[in-house]
Parts: sequence; structure tokens; C-alpha cells
Amino acid sequence: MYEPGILVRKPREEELDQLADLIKRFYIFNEEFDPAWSIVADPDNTARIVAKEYIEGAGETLVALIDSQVVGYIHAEIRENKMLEAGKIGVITEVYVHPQARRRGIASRLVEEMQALLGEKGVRHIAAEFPAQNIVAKEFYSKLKFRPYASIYLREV
Amino acid sequence: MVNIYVKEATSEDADAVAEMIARLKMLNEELDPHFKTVSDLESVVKKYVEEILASKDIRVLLALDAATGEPVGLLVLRKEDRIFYEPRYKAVITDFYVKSKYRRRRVGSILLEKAIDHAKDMGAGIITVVYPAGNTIAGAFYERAGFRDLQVEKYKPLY
Repeated sequence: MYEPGILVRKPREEELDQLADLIKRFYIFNEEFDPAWSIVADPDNTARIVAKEYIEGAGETLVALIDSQVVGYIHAEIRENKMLEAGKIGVITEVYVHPQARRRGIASRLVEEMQALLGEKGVRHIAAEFPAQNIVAKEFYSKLKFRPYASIYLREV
Repeated sequence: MVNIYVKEATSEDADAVAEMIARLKMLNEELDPHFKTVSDLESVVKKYVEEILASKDIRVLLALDAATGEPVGLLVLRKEDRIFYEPRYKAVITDFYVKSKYRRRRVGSILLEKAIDHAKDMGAGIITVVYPAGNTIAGAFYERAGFRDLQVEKYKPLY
């Protein structure tokens, strides 16, 4: 089902630079879809800080490796609403695969592995957040049988 | 609403032009792996910008924020001879980019209106645009602006 030779696991300290580069690329790409997603002036530094937090265990993060190179990652957080029967929901906030590693099912595999990881933590639903105009993400999640669940509307203050 | 003005870029604007062209090529890479950018993209873009700024058949239009003077968008227009067809000359939009922060403020539409004026001034009877099929952002923009399909480029990877 998936190509062999692709390893998915939690990121390690020595992979900080590679993970930071992918985080930066994820945000540069999403910036294209809506000005509200404009990134900070120093994306390199900030991406390193974020990558460090992810490696240290902020939220849930998995990386995909080919030949020891980090070629993709996924990040999710667990949100809880006490009023809802569903309770905990796992929200994928970032998923990115390097352009040269695309079309091998890596992003789909990252989502499946993240679903398994979140399932172990008592999550019964997973969701994905992305810019409303990001057609690429919309098609990707639709293909994986995600459906529209909540909408976020925004205006400038 | 941001006030925009459009001017023809000169060699003094080379860095701003190069930055936006590099961003455009990187976006294309995101949308389709067949547009993998070269490893020395920065130097290739720099050379390309020098060439387009010097060419008499190419106009490089730069949109600037009137309040700050910051370059916010770019459009490159190339005059081509359709030797078999009438109208003989077409103006092709080869590069078009608006910085994310300035989207949704009609910067693209203003640049396109100016490009049409320039195309006429260059003697072109038709204006066209080329962009990667996977660039759905561009596709939606040109469709809204009334562009239709003119010719198709198919591909088949050899390796």
C-alpha cells in the first residue's frame, strides 16, 4: 500500500534543522493563500524555535524519513470540549512533504500514523485545519474521507 | 484600502524583482513536482532579472505601495511574434506575483490592467499568460479576468 523504505516516527533532537526547514516551507506555502497567514519576518529562527518545541513534545509530531533524511512531518494537537460526547478531538494543524518526495503516499501515511497515535490517547475523531483557500489541502483531506466539520470566519480588527 | 501605483522596473529594482520571481518559482514547485527549482535558484533568478530588465521586447511592471514605496507585486510581459497568425504579435505574461500580505486588495487586477495598456503600446493584438497547470490560484484569477484557453501543453516524463 505504501512504498517501502519510508520510516515514520517521532522527531529526534539531531533532526531539528531538517524539521525546521519543513515547518518554514509549510508556512511559506500557506502564506500564499491568505494574507492572514503572512509569516513572521525571521521565519528561519522562529521555525527552529517551533521545531525544538515539537521535538520536546509540544503537541504530537511525527516525521517521515527516507535514507535518514526527514522528507515530511505532521503536527497535531488534542482539543477537548467537555460538552461534546466526542470529547477529545485530534486536530492536524500542519502536514508537509518536501516537493521532491511527493506522490509516494507519504502525507497519507503520516495522517494514518497520526490517527493511530491519537487513537491511543483516547481521541475518537481527527480533524485538519488549513487556510480556506488552500485547494491542495482540501483535495487531499477529501481524498482521505475527511468532511467539512467546522468553519472559521475571520475579519481584521 | 492600500494605494498602489505601477511603474516599469529599472536596474535599481533588480533585487525586489528577483525576490518576487524566486517566490513565484518556489510556489510553482509546491504545486507540481515537475517544477522542481534548481539548487542555485538565487543566482539563476538574478541573471534572469538582468536579462529581462535589459530586453527591449520585455516589460517588467512593478506595483508599489504608494504610502511606503514598498514593492508589492510584479508582472513580466514578453512580446512574441506569431509568424503564421493574425494578430501577428502577442504579449505573454510570463511571471506574475503579488506578495501575500497585499493579496485581496486588487493589486493583481491593477497590474493586469496596466499590462493590457503596455501590451497595446508594444503593438500586440492579444494578451496571453503561461503558468503551471497545478497553479490553481493563477487559474482562478485569470478565469475571473476573462481569459480563455488558447493552446495546451501536454507532458510525459521520460525518466
